[in-house]
Amino acid sequence: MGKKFTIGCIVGIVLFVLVVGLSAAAYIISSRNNMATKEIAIEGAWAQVQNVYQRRLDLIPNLAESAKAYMQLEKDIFEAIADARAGIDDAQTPAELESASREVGSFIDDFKVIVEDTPELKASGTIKDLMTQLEGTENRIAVERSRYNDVIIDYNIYIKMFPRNMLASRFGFSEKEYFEAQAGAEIAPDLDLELD
Amino acid sequence: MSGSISVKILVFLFIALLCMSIFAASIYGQDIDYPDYDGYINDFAQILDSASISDLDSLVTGIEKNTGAEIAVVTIDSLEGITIEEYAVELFEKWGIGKADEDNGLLILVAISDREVRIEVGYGLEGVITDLEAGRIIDEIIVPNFKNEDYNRGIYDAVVTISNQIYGEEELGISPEIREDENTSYSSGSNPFSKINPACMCCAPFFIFISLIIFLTNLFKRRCPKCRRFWALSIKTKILKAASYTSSGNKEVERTCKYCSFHDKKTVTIPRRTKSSSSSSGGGGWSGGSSGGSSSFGGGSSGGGGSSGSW
Repeated sequence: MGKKFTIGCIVGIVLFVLVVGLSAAAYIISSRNNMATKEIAIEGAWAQVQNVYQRRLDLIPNLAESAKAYMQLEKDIFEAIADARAGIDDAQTPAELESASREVGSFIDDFKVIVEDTPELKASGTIKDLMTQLEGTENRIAVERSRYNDVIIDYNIYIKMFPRNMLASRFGFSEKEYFEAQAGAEIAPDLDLELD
Repeated sequence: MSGSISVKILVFLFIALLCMSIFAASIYGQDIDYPDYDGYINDFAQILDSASISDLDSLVTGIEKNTGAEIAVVTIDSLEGITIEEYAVELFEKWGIGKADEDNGLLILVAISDREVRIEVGYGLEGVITDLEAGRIIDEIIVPNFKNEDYNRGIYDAVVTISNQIYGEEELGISPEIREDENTSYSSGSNPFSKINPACMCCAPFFIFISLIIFLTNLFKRRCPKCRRFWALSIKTKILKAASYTSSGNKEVERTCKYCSFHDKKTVTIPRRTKSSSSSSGGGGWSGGSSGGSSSFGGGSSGGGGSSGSW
């Protein structure tokens, strides 16, 4: 019995508490900062995604012009571009972005089908150039979407790891949405563009 | 004895925390094994002859010296099942072609057995080599030559055309447009921590744990086993036989307590030395080479600009 607390013992306990407390604080601070950093990276990637979607819109007037003779173009498509432009700027999530650019996307799909089916269009230099530009933009969209998904994966894993998940919910960092693998993108919605 | 239990708990706790931070930092490997580069011209498929490789190399090195733009020529055998666009963008990203702050890189990728070719243009050169120009270079220069199996000429003429474009742009005084970089938003933040490289931020808890563990092991190592005071022992080591790469050594450890009469001496073996492997990645097996040692890429990136074709 009668085992006394030596000074060394007390100092040890105090040091232990101090060390644990300090490392916990350091852990919380660095986690919080990492979450913020990752969120900024997501914003950057998102801006880049919006940027390439907008870029695609700039091609539409040229597409419309060169395919005019072959497509019954209504002024709808130009309204659709204007709507899409605003919608892409305002979009906060992949789902919103996709719905904003759906009509434009289906216009492009129709355009591609018409070019494939029309030999004189296919042979034209202008159309060839347009197709090259179109491929370029679509590829940029694919790249930026996958980069966006990469930073989202990084962030989502980071905030879900125990014990950080408790900190994340406390600081208001929640899981973010991915770009889905184009579910439904292959089914183009009707735009009433008919062949002549 | 309660002391030794608390030590065990402590060590367990820190190891657990350490494991977690390592686990979080480890991010999946890639499915495709992209090759490492050796200079600007990487003829993995071995379709170019050595004369045209050295011509290409001096041409590309000259462009880099004069304009800073980095051009990589890569021939591979197979795309391993992915599209050439994906392959090009991943390879571009892995190698970091172009200067990091200008993204002025360009990659010509040829996949022989797939009969596909792509010119991938970095963000900073998108204004100089537009998708249209890349497409024309492929359609009018590369594809016709490749159809005749004249790979040397197809690639050389393409690089010449590209370099003329880049030089032309330089002479007109138009510097390549610089992508609005998402990284700039880090430094504009008001948080002083955000200026620190995020990689360092990830490591910060790691370093704290390591120094803590060192501190704690030291604390308990220097505790006198007899009077149980901390920092009481003075430890003297004498190396009897140094460890080498082939054999282990041993040393004599002498412990004396400053406060009580405790004193002991024992011989400890020193483990065999191991060659330290540096964990640097990305640079791969790039060696100084004969071309003056400046042909390593600067960390640029691309965003899917450029054009592809097949022959």
